[in-house]
Amino acid sequence: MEILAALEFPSIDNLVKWPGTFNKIAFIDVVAVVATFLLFWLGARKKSLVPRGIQNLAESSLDFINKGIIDQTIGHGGEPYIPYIATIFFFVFFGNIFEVIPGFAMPANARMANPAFMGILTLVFFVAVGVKHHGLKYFTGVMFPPGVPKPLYALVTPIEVLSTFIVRPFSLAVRLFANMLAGHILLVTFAVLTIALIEGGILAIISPLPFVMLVGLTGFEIMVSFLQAYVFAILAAVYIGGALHPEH
Amino acid sequence: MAQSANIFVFLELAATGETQEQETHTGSGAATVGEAVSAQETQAVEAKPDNPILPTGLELIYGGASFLVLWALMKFVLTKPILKIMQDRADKVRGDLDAADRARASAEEAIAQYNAALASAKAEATRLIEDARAQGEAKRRELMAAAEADVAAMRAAAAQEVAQAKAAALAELRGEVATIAVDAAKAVIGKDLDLAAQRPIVDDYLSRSGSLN
Repeated sequence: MEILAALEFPSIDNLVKWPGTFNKIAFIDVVAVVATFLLFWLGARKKSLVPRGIQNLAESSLDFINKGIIDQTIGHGGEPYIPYIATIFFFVFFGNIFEVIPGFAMPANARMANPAFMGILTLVFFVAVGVKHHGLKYFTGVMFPPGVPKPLYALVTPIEVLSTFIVRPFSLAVRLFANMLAGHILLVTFAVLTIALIEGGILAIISPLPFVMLVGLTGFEIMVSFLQAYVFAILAAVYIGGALHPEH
Repeated sequence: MAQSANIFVFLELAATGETQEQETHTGSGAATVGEAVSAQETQAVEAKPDNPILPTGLELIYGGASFLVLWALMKFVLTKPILKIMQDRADKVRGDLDAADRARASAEEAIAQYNAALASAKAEATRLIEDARAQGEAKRRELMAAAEADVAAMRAAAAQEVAQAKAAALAELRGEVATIAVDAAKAVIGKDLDLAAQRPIVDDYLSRSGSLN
């Protein structure tokens, strides 16, 4: 059954014996930081006129963040937010992609800590942007959106406050967490089903079916890893843009 | 099946990597995850991990610190040089495009100047050709006129010479004819005739016959 080893989800101590409270999630967090650092640090070393290799990847990534996310959401004046949005994108993406990396097979964002932290930090960030550019009028703008008949404020204001300061970070965090956890459970389910069928005597004949599904879902989860990073980053940018240009 | 069942339990309890910290509640008391997995092989285990939804404090600290470190790196170290490279490249491309536009405008101006000079040269050449042609024509006419004058003069001189020769020949011929006629008449009449006396008659005849011609 050597071949089945490839389908097993290894023990948390399979690779290393984690010291103290430092666990696999923490390790993935550190790897995400190091991988992102290496990508941009190595990408900035050559400074050639025609970018190639890792410089091209680093520049394309920032260009994607800038033009694909920030220009589309924040628009003019969004350049200062490139580092934050890029940090979100790459931290989420590297945290997600470990879902399909053998030996890890666990997305860091399938735990609530990272999504919750980034959701709350994004709330603090866009509120800070709003206060910085509009002062306390930012809060009145959120609570009393213009163009609404005054009697309706009794209904609209609680909804807006709840939506902006509670639902936004909550939905950011839960969307990422739930998607990654669901994908993780799907992969685990089909991996375990494949093993169970192979070990199940005559039922082994249908074991290729969940295995093919497992392979397909692995590709799907790679896409989801990217997509969730993109969604988190673009929503954070939308919220920052809304705080920066509330009239839009 | 035992192995796959173990994996289920393991995933429920240990997917986060906190197997060492989390405790499971079994019928006989707390046990580590490893013990829970072992126990599951022999009897059912009621696994009750911590709430998987709520974040644990340590993960929050590790994740938050990692994120903040990465954010600081991105803000102060990583993105600036790359954005500067991209901005420099954009500036260079923009500058090159401007230079290309200027070069194109300069080339178009040079072409316009060249075309103007070419048109001017063509006009000058046409004018020169026309002048040369006019001068040639005038010269030709002048030469033709001179030649015709020469020809006319030569023709007049030749005519005069012919007339003079004709007159001389006629005068000589008249003298000869008078002599011959008088000689002939002498032979016919058998008597001598005075040539000088007869000459007026002969001349008169010749004059009349000549006027008839």
